[in-house]
Amino acid sequence: MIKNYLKIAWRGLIRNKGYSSINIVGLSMGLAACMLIVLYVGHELSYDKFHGNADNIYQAETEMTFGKDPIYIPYLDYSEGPKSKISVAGIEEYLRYQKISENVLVTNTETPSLKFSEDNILFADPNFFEFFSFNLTNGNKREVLINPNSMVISERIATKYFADADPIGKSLQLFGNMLFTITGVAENPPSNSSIHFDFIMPISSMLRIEKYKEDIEQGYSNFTTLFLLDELADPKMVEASLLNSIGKNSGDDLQKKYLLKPLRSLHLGEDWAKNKYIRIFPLVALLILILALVNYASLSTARSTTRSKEVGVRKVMGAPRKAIAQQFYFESALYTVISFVFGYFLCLTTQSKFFELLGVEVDKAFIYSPEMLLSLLLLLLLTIFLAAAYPAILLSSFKPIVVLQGKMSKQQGGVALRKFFTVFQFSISVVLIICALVMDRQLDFFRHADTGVDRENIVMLPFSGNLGKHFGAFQEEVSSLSEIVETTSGILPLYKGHNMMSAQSDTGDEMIFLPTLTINKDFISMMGLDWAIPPKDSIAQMGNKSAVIINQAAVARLSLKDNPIHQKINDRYEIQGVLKDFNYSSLHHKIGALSLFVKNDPSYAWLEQGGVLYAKVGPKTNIPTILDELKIIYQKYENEQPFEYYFLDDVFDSQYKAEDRLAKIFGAFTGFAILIAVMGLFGLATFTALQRRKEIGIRKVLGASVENVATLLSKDFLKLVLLAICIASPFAYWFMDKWMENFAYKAPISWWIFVLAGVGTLAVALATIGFQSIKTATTNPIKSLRTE
Amino acid sequence: MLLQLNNIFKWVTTGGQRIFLLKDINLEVEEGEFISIMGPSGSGKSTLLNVIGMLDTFDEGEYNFMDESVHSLKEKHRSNLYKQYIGFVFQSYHLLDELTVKENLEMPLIYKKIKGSERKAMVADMLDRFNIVGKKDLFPAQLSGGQQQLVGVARALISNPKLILADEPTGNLNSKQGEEIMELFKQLNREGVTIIQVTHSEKNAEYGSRIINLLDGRMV
Ligand SMILES: Nc1ncnc2c1ncn2[C@@H]1O[C@H](COP(=O)(O)OP(=O)(O)O)[C@@H](O)[C@H]1O
Ligand SMILES: [Mg+2]
Repeated sequence: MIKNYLKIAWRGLIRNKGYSSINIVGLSMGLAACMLIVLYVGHELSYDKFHGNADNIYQAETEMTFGKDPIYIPYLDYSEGPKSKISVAGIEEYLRYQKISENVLVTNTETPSLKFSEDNILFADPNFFEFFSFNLTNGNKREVLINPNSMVISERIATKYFADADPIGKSLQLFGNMLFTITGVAENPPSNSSIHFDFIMPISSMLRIEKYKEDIEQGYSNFTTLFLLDELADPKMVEASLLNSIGKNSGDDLQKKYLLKPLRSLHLGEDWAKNKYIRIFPLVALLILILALVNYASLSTARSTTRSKEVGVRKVMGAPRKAIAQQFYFESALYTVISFVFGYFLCLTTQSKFFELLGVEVDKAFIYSPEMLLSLLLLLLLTIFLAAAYPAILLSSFKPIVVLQGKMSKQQGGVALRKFFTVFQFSISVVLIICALVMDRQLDFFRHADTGVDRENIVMLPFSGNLGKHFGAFQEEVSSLSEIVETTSGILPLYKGHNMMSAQSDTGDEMIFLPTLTINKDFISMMGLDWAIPPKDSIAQMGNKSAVIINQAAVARLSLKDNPIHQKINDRYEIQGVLKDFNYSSLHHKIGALSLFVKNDPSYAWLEQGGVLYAKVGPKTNIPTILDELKIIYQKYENEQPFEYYFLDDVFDSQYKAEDRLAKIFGAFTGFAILIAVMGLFGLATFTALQRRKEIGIRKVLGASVENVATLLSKDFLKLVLLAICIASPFAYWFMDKWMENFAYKAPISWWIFVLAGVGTLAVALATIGFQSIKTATTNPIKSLRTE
Repeated sequence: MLLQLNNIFKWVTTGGQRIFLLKDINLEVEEGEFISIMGPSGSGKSTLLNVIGMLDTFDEGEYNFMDESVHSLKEKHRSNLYKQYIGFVFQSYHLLDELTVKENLEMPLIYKKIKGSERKAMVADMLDRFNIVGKKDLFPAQLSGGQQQLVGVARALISNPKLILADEPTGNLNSKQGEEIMELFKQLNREGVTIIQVTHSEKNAEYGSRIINLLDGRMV
């Protein structure tokens, strides 16, 4: 029986090539999109799950409330981890690690040419490989980090520095002249690990490095600290007892609290935008799957007039309804399996592009993991089930006498439902088009917004304290390049962060965190910042240790007088001038209060922490050339930290990366949805034309013109598309209005976006139907009447 | 007696008015009869045939088929009854285009859950009997109308029905092809199969042993 079903299905597929390919292509694309999303979401949800203790590991975070706004610090001090284990019930084990924030030069002393600047360097407690479940390909997980001179490297680093040789027992040199002996090699951390490492050294070795030792001894160190809790322990209770045991000795104006974040929540908790994807994507996947399935159902039932005869004959020959329904299930299984195979290939060939677009890396091993294969298999079964459901129910319900005598009215063929399907598909397409357009407008708005800062042609070169010692000479040399118009400096790259200081409001009853920029005096003029109240005294005065500049928002936030010149903040910093508000962070937020500290003598200012050189490049400069020149100068003064640069406008734009990604993905999905809808429409138009062949032949014999007939055929479909546009627009508006709530500065959602989406959709639909309609309208009526 | 219709009425209601499709039909059919139903277009011939074939229902009256009262049977039981004893032949053949001649013949046997080997034998037998062995792997579209109807009759016969119902079986055929089918019916009738056919042609009606005339749903 099954063989018989499949045989018939296969023959039908071969015979109706056009119909089959529309069905299969549509379904393959829908499935491919679904699979990509399943992989992405699966990957995101699988973060850190591979650790054996994953569900009982928590990362400690400190919450400090200072006045109104709490800040969160995801670290504990060096001593706090061990103390907690001793004094807090429920904590079975602790693990501390610190990732080095700057680049470190690593040398293979045997082959000194193998020397690279590296950034994935961790100091960790010796139980690292027992606490977590990273695999060692070489070395004993209990012993690899016991010796202070020991080091574990990742496989990729082993290959990079030692090629095929066994690295165990060999040494690498870091931090100037310290030698570490390799005791273990670890598998590269999987892509779904939130902890990444290439080099791990024992924490004990930090005490031999001056700059780390100091922080640790003074109790100001920052260690990511994770606790393994007893299965039965309540994290809330542990949080409370952490406060009692280690939180007491802090200053009393500061409200401190400890929070335990489950290891499994670290990844998705990190960034709201990612979290949003996780919520939106399954929805999008479902939507695309529904679109493709609706296509399938709608095309299958459109064929019902052809198939109904078959159903009638089979029933008269004794087929029970169940057998007919079964037959359609097998048929849909055949179509679905073929589509699934194509879809899977499509998914595999596009996955790297897709993940790149999303800015994530996904291991091959994950893609082919049993879990994922099982998920895809479930997707296949679900698709088979859903694809067949409606056609099977509809077609198997036909009464043989009705269909065999050709008395079936159009309604019985599911025409109304097909209309609904068409409206549904196009509504979704229109919603997606409008959303894509609105997102594009918003991004364009971000990129071109007047933020009060001249962002163009400014390149930023971050440097370390090493170079800071020679900053004067460095800056002079850069300035002397003919392509460089102007230079200035600051402690951090603009839009990439700022420091904070606590400030008391003028009324004295409130503490706020006041963002601060530390800059060189030329910064204000070079960035084109405008004064609201210019400083009375000379610019040089501003370089005083006790001088500060604020923006208008700070005047309001600190409840200062309208003209606060010479007023003091925290009884210490005298206000010298007030700048007009400018956007110093992303346009997601309204401009907040800001203070600026001016350093007069830059060569002195950037000694300790390093800083950033801002250089304005002439308008017609050849960028690669000037970057090369800058690199050469940079390398004269710095041989450890690699040369890095950012263009200010790029950095500004990259603040909207999440939105940019969302827009790109929306664009891609919109394309998908439209393509699927158009194919469905094309299929329906073809079948309608086929069904009405006789009617059209008669009309033409009676004198209908080509236009008459083409209009007759197109009108009904266009009405549906118009209806879809009307239904979709308010939904799209609502969605986008919600989305815009994320931004303090928004582009208007203008009427022309809706008109453009509507006209565009109509045009595409018209082109799709028009082709069929004209073809049908121009066929010789005698032909169609004869074949009837 | 094979079947018996007593005072059968069938109607549809449109706009509050009853339109009678069948009016007071009384008919007894003995096993081995060959009956032709005649009448003008729209007189209810097909409707009557469908009622006899249990594909259609009626509103009043009694219908007994082989001592079972069809009017009081459940749908499922009824369909089992016609599956077992009745074969249908259609004016437009109604062969399945996607299936070969052999597969078309095999289909009713599949739904009767007859085993594969047995099915093969029965199909081969039928192909042989109708002289269409050479056509077994062709699709209906590759056959002439007469050949298609031949297959149609073969398919109706394959499960050994007691009764064959044929609604204008020669309506789409030329006179020579029609004659062949009629000869075939006569032959089958001689072998003991009861046949009820609808026809417009006096000549074809003559093949039967009895003629029933219908006018506006009434036997005349
Ligand atoms: N389901 C129905 N509803 C309304 N009228 C019907 C229905 N079925 C048949 N008829 C009408 O009943 C009459 C008899 O039909 P039919 O039995 O097909 O005639 P014929 O003798 O040509 O085979 C026709 O006038 C037909 O239009
Ligand atoms: Mg008729």
